[in-house]
Amino acid sequence: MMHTRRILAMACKDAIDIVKNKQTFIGLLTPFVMGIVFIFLQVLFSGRGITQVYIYDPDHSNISTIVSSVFDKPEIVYARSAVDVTAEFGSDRARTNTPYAMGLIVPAGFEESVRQGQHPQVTVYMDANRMSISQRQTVPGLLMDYANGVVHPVPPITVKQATINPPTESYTFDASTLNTVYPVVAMMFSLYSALFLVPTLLIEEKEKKTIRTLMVSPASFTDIVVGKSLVALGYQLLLTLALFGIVATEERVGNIALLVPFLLLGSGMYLTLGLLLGCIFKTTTAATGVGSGIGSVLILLPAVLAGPFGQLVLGNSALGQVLKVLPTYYIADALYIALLNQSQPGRVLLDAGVLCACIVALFALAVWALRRQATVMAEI
Amino acid sequence: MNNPELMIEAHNLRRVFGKKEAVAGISFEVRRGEIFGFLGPNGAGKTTTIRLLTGQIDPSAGDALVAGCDIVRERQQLKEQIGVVFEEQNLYERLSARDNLEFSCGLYGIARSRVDEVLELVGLRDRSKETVQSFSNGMRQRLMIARALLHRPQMLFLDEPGRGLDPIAAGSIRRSIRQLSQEGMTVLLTTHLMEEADQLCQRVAFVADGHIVALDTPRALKLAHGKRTLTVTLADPEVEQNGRQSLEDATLSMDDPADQARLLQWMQQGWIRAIHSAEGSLEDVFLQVAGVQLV
Repeated sequence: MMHTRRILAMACKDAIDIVKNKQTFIGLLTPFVMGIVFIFLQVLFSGRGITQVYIYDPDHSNISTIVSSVFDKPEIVYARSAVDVTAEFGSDRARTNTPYAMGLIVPAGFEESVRQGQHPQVTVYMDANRMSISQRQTVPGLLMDYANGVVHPVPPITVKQATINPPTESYTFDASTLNTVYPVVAMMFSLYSALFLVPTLLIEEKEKKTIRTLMVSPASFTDIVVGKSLVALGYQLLLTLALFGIVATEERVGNIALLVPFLLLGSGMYLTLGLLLGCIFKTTTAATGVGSGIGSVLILLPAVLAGPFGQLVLGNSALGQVLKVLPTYYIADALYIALLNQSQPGRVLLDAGVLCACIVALFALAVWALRRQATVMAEI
Repeated sequence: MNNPELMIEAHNLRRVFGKKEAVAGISFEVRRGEIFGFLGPNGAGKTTTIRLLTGQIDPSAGDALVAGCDIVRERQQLKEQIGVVFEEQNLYERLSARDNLEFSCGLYGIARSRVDEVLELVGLRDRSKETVQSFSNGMRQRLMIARALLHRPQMLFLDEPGRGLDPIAAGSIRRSIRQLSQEGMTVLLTTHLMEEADQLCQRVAFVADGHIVALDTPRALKLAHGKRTLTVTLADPEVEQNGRQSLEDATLSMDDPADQARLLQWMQQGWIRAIHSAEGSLEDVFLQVAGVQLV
């Protein structure tokens, strides 16, 4: 039976202890360092300053502002005519050295035409070297949403989309890929902290024999474990949010309604895995050693290869299929879907199902190991 | 069972680990307000008995009431009634003394104002903000006692309280235990230090190989099992007449008729300068009763 006061006492004690344990504290700051590294890499690889957007919009409607919002602080340059925009990007997408990341042609009387159901054509030019996949996918959606706002519910416009510098078969590293992959890698690593934190908190009680004091106190074993998990979960979520704040500056946030539950499911999976490690091992060194090993395989591979980078590198190869055996693949997959704002209900359900099943299985294993461990500990 | 005058009633307690019988059917009672000592060498079963009585492990057989609570069926109530000071110094080293105690307050649901009271009691109030890492062994031991007293338990278990302490620190701990007893606390302590038991305990139980081999007050045990001897200091009057002093000690058994006759003869001759009675030590008694050395 759980007791809130005792759980909070345990969580509070562990939180103070973590802050006072220099080794653990420094370890837990690592994801923040990753965030700073990300910003550094952004500057290093992007090699650009302000993103310029070239727009012809004689009515100066809100559509220009809304579409430009896919960029962080864009500089909007208004063209005198639609021909100027077309010329800048090339009528046959031939120009590859334009200074503009995106071009937009909005016809005169756009909103009125939409209301009259004339299906006005909006033309968008996008430079794949300057816009990430998610940005390129977001723009048509924004245009549709805007138009839907004018006349609802039938989509009243046709968007003619053209991409210059389309991605080639051979992969070239650029900032847009970094923008997509890095947030997922960083978030997966922030979840990884549970593999380090929960076993450390649990095993130290065994190593220092303080667990005996807890065993003669009114706190139940469940209180102890839940209190420790609460600290790890709190840290994890705080860290993920902070990290997301850092890495999402260049990107749109994506589908938050999807992102948050999957971050929680991911946290749950790593917490139960950490709990299992903490119950099985008697020394912190052994648990963190195994945790690091598991972390490398279970986190790094799916985090990097589950998304668009993986599609470029692996395609439908056997390795890509093998990757799906790892339960953490489904966290990474869901995070990519959420970040890229994709509409993939089938995949989302599969990801959620696999993660829930893993959490239940790991928790059952951990409970079994805990009971066994509790008996052994009392006999030591 | 459940005599209100008794704080512990143990009946035929047994605990088996694999093939080893750590506690082999012990029965004893501890009275309310008493300091009771469990004495024996390492591995005799003292600590296992404490773990049984504090509800950390289940007995393989037998039963016991501690503070009126069954050690198996009423474990949760039992935990509220007892305080335990462990053999190993298991404190949260990176936390301050105050943080350690405030954590226990949270577990027991006690107001934090109690922390200052127990720190005052063990003389650590001035050091309450320092981390345990900076504490000496004696200070740590005192902090563990403070932690065990925080929730005002009826019964205090002390597992080897004097282990690893210098004589001054050990003396300080003993004074604290005596003071607690005077205030009505019941104390059960385990030790392999006979001097500690002799100074502190009103009754002691000798434990060897999981059995209680003797149980009584230290004085009664010494009188019952110790060697009843007299050390007699003698002077030879003939030698002393020549201006020289000649003294020598002789040890006589009070139970040996020949020694009794010799003592009478020396008294009549006026040779005796001093007589000292010598009780056996608890250590001697343990050796005699259990047939093994304490350490």
